[in-house]
Amino acid sequence: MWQDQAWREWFQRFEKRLPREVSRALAAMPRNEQAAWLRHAERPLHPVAAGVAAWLSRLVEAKPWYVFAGDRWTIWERPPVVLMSYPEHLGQDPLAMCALGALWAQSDDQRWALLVERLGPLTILGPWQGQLESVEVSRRLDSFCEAYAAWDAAWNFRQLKEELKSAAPACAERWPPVPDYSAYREQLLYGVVPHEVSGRPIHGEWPVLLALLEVPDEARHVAAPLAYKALESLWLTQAWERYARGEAGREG
Amino acid sequence: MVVNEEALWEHMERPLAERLIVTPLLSRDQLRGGSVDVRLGQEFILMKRSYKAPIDPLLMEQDPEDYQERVRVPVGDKMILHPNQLVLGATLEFLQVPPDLMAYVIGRSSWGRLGLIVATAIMVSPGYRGSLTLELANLGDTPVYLYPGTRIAQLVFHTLTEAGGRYPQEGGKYTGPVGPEFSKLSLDRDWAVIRAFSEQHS
Repeated sequence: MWQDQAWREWFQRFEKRLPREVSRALAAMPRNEQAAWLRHAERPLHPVAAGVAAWLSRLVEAKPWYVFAGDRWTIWERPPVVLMSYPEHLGQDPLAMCALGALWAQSDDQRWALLVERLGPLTILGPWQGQLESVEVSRRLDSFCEAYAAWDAAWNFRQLKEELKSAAPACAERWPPVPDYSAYREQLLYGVVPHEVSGRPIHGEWPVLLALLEVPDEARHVAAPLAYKALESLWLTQAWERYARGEAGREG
Repeated sequence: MVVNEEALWEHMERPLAERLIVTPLLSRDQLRGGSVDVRLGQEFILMKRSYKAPIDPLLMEQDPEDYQERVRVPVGDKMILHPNQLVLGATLEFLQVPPDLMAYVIGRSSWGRLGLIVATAIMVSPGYRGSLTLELANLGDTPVYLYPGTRIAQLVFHTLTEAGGRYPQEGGKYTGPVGPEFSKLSLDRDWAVIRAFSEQHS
């Protein structure tokens, strides 16, 4: 039928610009899912979403994820390929993009344990800020609130519980301690990229993202790019030092 | 008076509101001999020929996407700059100039000899914070590749005879950006007067 021919032409026009792994994944989907992912792929991927996705996939030692701007959080996985979409309007916020971790973990307890170990409180705060509805997040809410009771005042757990609580059976996790993030919070509220004095790199991603959580809503759109700049600067500094050491080794 | 290296390091240790901020500082030797080398950032605004209307600074109501395109070129990749092409880039570094200092952006002659002009607005006010937008133009006859992460210009800092008015409090138009920003010429205070003249003439 001519409609099928038109579909194939439309599909091929977009599909040929995608990585081969993604094309193969699309070929395994029904036509309506193909169309949805192709439409996602047509939208520009926000650099913050791309950067956070690359960091998270390195953190949990997963193969690189293929992340797209969409209307909502969705995941399609057929090992080794993982396709994920995020709500496009949240793409500039690095904390909200941490919800990609929970999206990837799905209902796999091993993945959740890994996330909790390496992403700590951001495992729950990311999905909360990214408005990701997840039973798996709700199941871990009680142990999260218990572990971080000391920070209840700062993080406003009441609102968190109201928005995430469900009747799902609880699941306990071993939550790591929260680092000090007060200096970075002060810097974000003042309006500069979180940094250390004398040009030294920041202590890690967690404190910057926790500091961003405490920025008032009206300043969030200004603070989010500053926070992401700090993360990006850290990753670039680490890579720069790695390559600089490698070059020095070759010269020596 | 030009500020020396020791004083610049000392300013980087000061309390937040008085601190010289240069982040990320990928190499400590970026700060030496009284100047700070700044690197080319990863965000660019390409100017394109609009089919709709010219840029009218009096109005500036046009959708910026009619005549500009934002692109991101990561460190390790490169971007071509054609002869007579204008591109807005930004420093990789986010900066804060302390209230008792100001700075000048000086292009590197190594780039200049290839035809690359780096900045036209070269003064950075006391208290400014943000990445610096760089106006990049190729005045040579040969296309040139731009590599994000390369040292593109120098900042030379000067002391003030007295602490200057803080740029953010004075209503600076470009405070706080982490990438290049398009012209905000229409925010100049004089436009109300120019517009009144313009209405008289029409």
